[in-house]
Amino acid sequence: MIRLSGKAITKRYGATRALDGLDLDIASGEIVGIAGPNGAGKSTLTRMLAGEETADSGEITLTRGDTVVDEVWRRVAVVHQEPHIWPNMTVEQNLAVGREGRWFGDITPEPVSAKAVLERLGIAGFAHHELADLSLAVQQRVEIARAMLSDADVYLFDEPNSALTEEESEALFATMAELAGSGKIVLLITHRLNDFVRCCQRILVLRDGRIRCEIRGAEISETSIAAQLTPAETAEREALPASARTAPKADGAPLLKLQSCSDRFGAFRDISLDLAPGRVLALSGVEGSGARELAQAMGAFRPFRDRSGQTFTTLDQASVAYLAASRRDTVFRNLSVGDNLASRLAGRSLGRLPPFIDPAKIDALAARAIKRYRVKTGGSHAPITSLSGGNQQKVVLGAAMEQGTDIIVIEEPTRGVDISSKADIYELLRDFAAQGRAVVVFCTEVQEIFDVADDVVVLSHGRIVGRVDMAGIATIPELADLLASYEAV
Amino acid sequence: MAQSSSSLLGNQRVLNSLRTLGLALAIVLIAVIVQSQRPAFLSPENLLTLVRSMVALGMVACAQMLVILLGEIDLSVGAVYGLAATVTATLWLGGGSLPFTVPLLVALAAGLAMALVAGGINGFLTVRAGLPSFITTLGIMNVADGTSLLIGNATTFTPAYNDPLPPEWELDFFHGLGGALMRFDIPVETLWLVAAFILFWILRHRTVFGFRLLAMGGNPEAARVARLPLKKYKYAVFLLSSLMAGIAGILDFSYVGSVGPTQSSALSFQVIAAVVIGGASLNGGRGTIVGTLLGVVLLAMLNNGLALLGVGSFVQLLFIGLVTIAAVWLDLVSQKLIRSAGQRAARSGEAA
Repeated sequence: MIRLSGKAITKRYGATRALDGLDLDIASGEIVGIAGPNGAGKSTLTRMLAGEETADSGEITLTRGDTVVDEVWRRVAVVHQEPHIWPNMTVEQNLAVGREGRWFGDITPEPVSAKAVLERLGIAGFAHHELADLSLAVQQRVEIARAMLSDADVYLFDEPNSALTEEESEALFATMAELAGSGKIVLLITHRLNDFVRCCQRILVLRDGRIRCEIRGAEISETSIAAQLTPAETAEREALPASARTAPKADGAPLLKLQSCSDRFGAFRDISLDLAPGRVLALSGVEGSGARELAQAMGAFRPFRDRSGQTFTTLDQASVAYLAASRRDTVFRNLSVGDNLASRLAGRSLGRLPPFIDPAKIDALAARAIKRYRVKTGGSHAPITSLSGGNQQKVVLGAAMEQGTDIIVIEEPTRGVDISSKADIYELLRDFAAQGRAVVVFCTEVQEIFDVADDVVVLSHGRIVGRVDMAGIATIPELADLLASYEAV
Repeated sequence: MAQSSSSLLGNQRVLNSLRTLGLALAIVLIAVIVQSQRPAFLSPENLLTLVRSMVALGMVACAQMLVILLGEIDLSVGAVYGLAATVTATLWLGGGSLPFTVPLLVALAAGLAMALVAGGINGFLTVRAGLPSFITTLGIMNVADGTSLLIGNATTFTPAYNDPLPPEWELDFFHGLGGALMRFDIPVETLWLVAAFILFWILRHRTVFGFRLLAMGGNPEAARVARLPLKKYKYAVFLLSSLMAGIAGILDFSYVGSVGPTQSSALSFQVIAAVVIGGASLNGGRGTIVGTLLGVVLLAMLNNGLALLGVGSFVQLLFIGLVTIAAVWLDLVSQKLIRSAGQRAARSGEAA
């Protein structure tokens, strides 16, 4: 019997209380979900369990039977939201780091268990590939594999499946259930409410640094959790069916025409589609289907190849802004909120005499943008890192929209973003499209497609296998079934 | 079969050996060109000269590669190379600014200790004070050069003609360290190079130390989260680097038979060029011992070959600069090609 407990844990950063009298009592054998809006203290709790922070008062203790474990973090394995892995090493080497075993010889992980874990996660074929060559989804699974291979008592999964498809997530949840079944403590932190419903027996809702309520067993549902997270707002949004909010089909010439285009590296083939103005197009498909790569190509981030073998980018036809999936690749962490908003601009928008910039003009621009893109911040001079993930994403999106391009392409627009920011981001995207421009999103969640898209293009094995007009879709399950049926072909 | 050539391309070992092969081909190419013009190139005498010229470069480069693998750099090696030899010479032979002399063994220990002190300071300033190692070691390079000049008083020391003459056994022992000739006139120094190469190969490729250096250089943040001893390892590589520079300095002193004030920065930059030509990345996380050795061979061969061809030393310098840039550029291009092949292989594996 393992027990993780804590009483009145407090942690302050300057004036803000990240944790404010948090009580914990978790026993082995169950999967416990930890829900909460951004800034509720989830990441502080994570860092504390991982031993990267110590509490100001109160202490987290771990007991195994009657013995109290000394250094709790030694018995905690964390799957981080952003994988903490080594891009310059092979998958196998990644598993061995930190637990090499012996000091001399060829360093490899313990072969039998490593192979078993890699096979179960479906990445055994990549054992000798370097991680830099592999997709984010594989990298995330390597992070999971590292945790699985550690002999811990507590397994903490922080957004473990943000880059995984439905099927891969399902396999992960099965693995987590097995861990819990073998007498370990399993904790899950995620923004996807559906995942809580699918795998948790108990959910702790964290708000303002303490546990506000606990939802158990049969009471767990997306609505019950959402109600606890942001009580007033969500209820009304829930009711809106996709068919009621999709944009009417505008006339106007397509902003982008693709005819039998393929990828240089074979990620997709034979792509023909028109990007109509005023619409939000979602690209859907599992990792490796080519959907993500198609989004990158539409964002002019990788070249297309047309039928005759000529390479071109979408910039030849229209102006395009592209935003990558990971905020690590979109946020300038060394700059302020205002500078981030101005980061994609040049010329007259930054000053009266172009190559020179005018700080006052940037300030005015930033103040306007902060309001327009609904960024919650202390001001345009606040460091971008002081913002929550959702607000950082709004800044990134705002910076791209300020460019005034015809098309915005964004991968996973709400990765690691809380519910209320999600709704804002979807609205910003739709407003952008409504100005006669177009938005392309690559989504991994059905919910997201349902919330934001007007059209869906489904890819499988590099080809388009289905097109959906969201005007004909009334509920999420209906959409999920439809997408699954296309992908099964 | 699933094990097609494309899936093999994703395998990291295959990729690495392809790159090493390219470097080896470049070396063969240079050898063929020089040999076709100057038949003396492959003569035993010239090959001995060639190997001899690689000793200091090779020994220091092996250790420098570990520093670079960790994402740091050590510019002070050239100065430490000179410092260790000067300290040893002054203490042993007298005649510098020090008013006393000590026996050879004590002087040798002091020379190496001086090198270790320099390495320790490099480590301390980089790890504890958090200065970029580029600045730290640039500073220590000048400090070490200045110390050499102060201690040695810019004198040239020659043990065999020193007054008073050191005891016979000391002279023999010192000469035996690196300068004595073995069978076929091979100098003892080359044994040190071979030993250093083997030891560093084991350290880099067959110990947890080397494995963790690779990890720490590739992603320091993940290494910190995995609680790898990053600070200790940084100290270790700076100490190793300085120690090898010190040993190389003393060995060259032994071989040449004299040591005087030198412009030491040249060695530092040759060493770094060799490591980078050998495929190491200055961003950390990439670098092998075999590659480094090939980089050393390439540089030494260019120096030697250009001299044989009768190219003036001014033009030689220009040539070596261009070749360094070209080699690293070629490596980058081939790496890119290989990488995209690897990604393609990974993707086809994923789809299957």
